[in-house]
Amino acid sequence: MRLAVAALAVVAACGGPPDPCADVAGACLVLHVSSPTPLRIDQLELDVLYDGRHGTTTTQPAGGGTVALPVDLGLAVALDRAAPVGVVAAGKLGGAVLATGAASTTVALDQPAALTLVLAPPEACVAGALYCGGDKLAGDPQTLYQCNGGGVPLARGTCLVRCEVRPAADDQCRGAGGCVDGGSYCGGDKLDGDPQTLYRCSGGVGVSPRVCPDGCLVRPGLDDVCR
Amino acid sequence: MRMVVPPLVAVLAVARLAAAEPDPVEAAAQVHLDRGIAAYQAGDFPRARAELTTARELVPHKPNPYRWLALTEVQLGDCPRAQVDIDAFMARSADDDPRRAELVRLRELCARRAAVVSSVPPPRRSTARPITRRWWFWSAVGVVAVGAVGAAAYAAGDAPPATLPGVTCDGSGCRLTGR
Repeated sequence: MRLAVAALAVVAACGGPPDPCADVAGACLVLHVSSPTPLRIDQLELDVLYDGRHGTTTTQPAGGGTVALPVDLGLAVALDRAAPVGVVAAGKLGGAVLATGAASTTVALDQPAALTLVLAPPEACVAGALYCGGDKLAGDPQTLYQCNGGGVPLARGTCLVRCEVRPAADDQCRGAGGCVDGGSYCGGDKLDGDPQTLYRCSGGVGVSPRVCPDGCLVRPGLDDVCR
Repeated sequence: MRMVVPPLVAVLAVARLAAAEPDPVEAAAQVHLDRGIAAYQAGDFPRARAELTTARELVPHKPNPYRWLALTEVQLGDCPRAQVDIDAFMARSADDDPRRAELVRLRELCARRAAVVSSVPPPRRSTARPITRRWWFWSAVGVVAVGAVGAAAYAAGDAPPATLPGVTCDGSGCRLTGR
């Protein structure tokens, strides 16, 4: 009996930190969230871009209260093939955003993956305006985001060609060009714009923008459509 | 678009200022709330309770002071008061307010604590047998010693990060894992 108790204690003392993905079946990413300066948060807001989709949620310490960075958590993503996953995080305390950060990686179905997000104080962006990551808000430089005044930047989508920073206007995804007059295109497909907005091509540019609440689907050879 | 936004924002801001002067009561409540939160984070829970109580009295219709008061009262071991403030927060916050989950957990924690306290059996009379002769004494000494060595080794290295509840993203969006 004594021996068993002592052995248990040794195991407990030598065990490493728990694996946040240990109990997850399928693709899972260990997010390691840190900050260069001491930081306590009571909420971590996440905006996740995965497989052409986008979702936002909030996690907070079990039992309430605050937690000091660094923190780890598991991000399980439903994928049917290896795919890029982009994460933007905002550390909040009392409802105020203290710091934001972003990172992305490709997640395989059957291999462990990890992503480190380093949170830093956010820059001032104009709420509702669109920015490429790194231009006044945290994010991937090739992804277009919407500035969210009270929380984590919201991903609009990854730019297929490139994300263009425009000092005097909303940033946008550049299109590949060659849109056909009268055709419908998501922004950044064959014309410039927002990946979650459907445009009509007129003279090579997008007109009559229509925001797609559930995202815009690029369909090669066919008109693009709202999901 | 962004060229249009700053002037528009300025116009809206001026219009808003003209339409509604800042409410001095709400401003004072915010000061007490901020002080209470700062005291909470510094671990000065009695002071936090005093500041947050003032904030709550100034703006009894707002949910946030109740939330912070509940968090503080749990730290002070005052679960009965915390439960009252949790209920008040719930009554004043929106159904989709993400802070509700935290307070639901807090309420459950309080309920468990109450159950534990009420189920503690009365102390039994001690026997005359010396403690060092009890079967568990030396096992406990061993566990404490091993634990102390482990803790010292652990403190010498980097502390592992805390773990937050995980997140799952699928075709219907992202949410906390298991919900």
